[in-house]
Amino acid sequence: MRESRSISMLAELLELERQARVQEKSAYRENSPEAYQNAGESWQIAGESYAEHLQRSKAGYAFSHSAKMALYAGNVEQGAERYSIAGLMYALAEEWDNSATMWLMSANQFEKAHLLPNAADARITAALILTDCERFEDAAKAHLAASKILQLLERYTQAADEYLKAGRLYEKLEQWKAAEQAFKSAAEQYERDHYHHKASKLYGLAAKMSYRTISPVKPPETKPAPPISSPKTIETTQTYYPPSKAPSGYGFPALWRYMQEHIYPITASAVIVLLFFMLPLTINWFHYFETSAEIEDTAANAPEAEVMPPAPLITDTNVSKHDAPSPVSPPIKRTQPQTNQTVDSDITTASKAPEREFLASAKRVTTEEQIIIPDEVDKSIPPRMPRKYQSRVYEPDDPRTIWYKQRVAAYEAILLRHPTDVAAHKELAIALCALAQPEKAEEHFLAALKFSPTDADIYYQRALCRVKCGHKQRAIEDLRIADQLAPNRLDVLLELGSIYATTDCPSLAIIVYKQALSAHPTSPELHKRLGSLYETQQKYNDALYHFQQARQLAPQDVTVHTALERVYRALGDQQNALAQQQIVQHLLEGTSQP
Amino acid sequence: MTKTQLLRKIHIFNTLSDYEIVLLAAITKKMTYPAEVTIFEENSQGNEFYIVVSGAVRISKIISELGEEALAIVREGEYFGEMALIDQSTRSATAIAHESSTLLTINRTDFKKLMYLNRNIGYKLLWGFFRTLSERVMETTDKYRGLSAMAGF
Repeated sequence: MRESRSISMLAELLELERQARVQEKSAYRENSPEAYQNAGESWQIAGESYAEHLQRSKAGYAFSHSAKMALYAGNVEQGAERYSIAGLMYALAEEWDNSATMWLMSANQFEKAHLLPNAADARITAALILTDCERFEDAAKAHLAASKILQLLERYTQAADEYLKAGRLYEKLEQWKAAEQAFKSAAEQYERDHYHHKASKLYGLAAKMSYRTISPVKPPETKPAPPISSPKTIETTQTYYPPSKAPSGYGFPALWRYMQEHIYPITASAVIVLLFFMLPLTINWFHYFETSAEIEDTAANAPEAEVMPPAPLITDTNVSKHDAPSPVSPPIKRTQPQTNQTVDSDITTASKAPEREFLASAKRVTTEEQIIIPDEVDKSIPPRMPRKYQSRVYEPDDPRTIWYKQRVAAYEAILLRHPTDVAAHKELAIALCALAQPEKAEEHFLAALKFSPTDADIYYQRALCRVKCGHKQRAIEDLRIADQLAPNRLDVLLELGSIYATTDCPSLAIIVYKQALSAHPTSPELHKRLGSLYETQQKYNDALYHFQQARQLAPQDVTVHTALERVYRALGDQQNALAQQQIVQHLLEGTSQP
Repeated sequence: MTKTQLLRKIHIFNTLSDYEIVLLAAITKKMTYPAEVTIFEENSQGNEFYIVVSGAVRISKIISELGEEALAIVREGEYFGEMALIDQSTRSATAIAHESSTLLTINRTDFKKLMYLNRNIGYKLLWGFFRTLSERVMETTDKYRGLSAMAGF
């Protein structure tokens, strides 16, 4: 009895589907909205009947046809809704790929019908399903599309959530640039709804992604050992497994399992703990022996290293090492290679005579050589505070060009005698960079880093050189390393912030400047830069705060008063703006302030 | 009357948007019960939520030696068995079609999937259920107060 009932039911369903197909065909022939509408209704009835009898896959199929017919009939909203139902039916039938497609189609139609909340919902659902299907890239795109819609709807927190999900997926896919962008957008959306704590966290994540863009995590080179018991699982290609997903057949888990099986567990734990504590020590020893051996090898290969007297190192006498040097030959100081990586500013007068002699004997260079200055160099660097340490590219007839050429000759002479002299490599690289020879400069920076890999200043100087050549990402990489080696160095952070500010990442620049401000609270320059950034973002109250701080720290700075005047005007405070204008006039005329 | 129109009338779903109602309607199933047919029995496993489209349903307790004790009559537009969507407990009473009735049912598995796919629906419906539960707790408290007062006299 039951069987015959189910057969008749099935026959009924098939009949409904057949009728719908016939109507669809006739609708194509007629090609009129009414015919399409009727065909759509027939498919709708068939779909509902299938759904009632729990035949979800067929229901999904019927609803998708119904949606298509509705669209042909010109009813976009109905079509979108039916695509959604088809998506739901396929999801209930656990046909995830079909389901995701239906949801995406639904979202597209909702967008066409300007039903943005529904479109966002459909996209989010599609993203969810795509994630479950491990189609992470598509899922990320769906999340991004949803977040853009939510942004339009001014549902900023929800938009931020979607951006965050997209960012996570891109991070999983190791698409750092996209991840950075998504996290940054998420932070911006959270900021709009005043979730500043969340926003700051996400800016941090974006910065982390930015760092990974320039130094991506590479899989280890070592080939995993094949498991002993099962030859089927031996892999022919090298595969990188993140630590959390490492298969238990090899590596540390395998060692641990082996020890647990063969050694008494407590002994195993003790051995592991011991290894854990011994590892850093072993690495340090290894590094020490390796570095010593390299230095000895290089020194042994150096020509006349033992015969010649120690070579001098050229430095400036003033605090700023490379800024505005005088055309006169700079004084010289003797240093021991490797031992003195930092350059002292105090020069003993007694050492000057032999140094001058040395310079006189150094190769003379003429000013006739043409120096090629790349067009993009100065465009990439916005006008800002004088850089203490940054070397510049000068015109051929500039006396500083002659000075830098003399330096190059001098340092080349030093390196002939002492090829391992870190300071000489660094100074030569700086001089070469100033003379627009970045390739040669890179070589000497590399040489300097080989012998002194923890010298933050080398990284910093190389970053400056790279900025000049327009390699901003590589410069960021260097500055990040410099910041790790010498945390909170003001010039490093100023440069880093400046690069971010000029590469459309003002939010990252703000993070960097705030970090610098926590270490250097009395720096007017930091306040000025933060003020300018906030002003650009039209956050005038924040800008006002920082410019006021800068005014307190540098009351004679005309640019601060000018900026304050601008901000007051933007805030509608004409009285204070006028006062600032008067102060600027007085400062320019050299009279006392009112 | 379509399923969507029926669902729109139900108090618990009044926070859902039209689109959400359409999705919810897609997972409902229409059932017809002749009068005096048992829909579910006490202590049976509950998996479905029922909405009365037409007719009436009697919710009763079967007491041994005394027979059926009617607790409530659920009429058109009202619903019962909603706890089955939230937990997996057994039915606390028996439901019998008081008249020939048409019901819409929502299966727990489908409902959970829908909530997973569309978090907004899940959020709104769970709030709806909490509101219902809160109202029922208040009703029970009132009844208890009434009983306490009567016992005092």
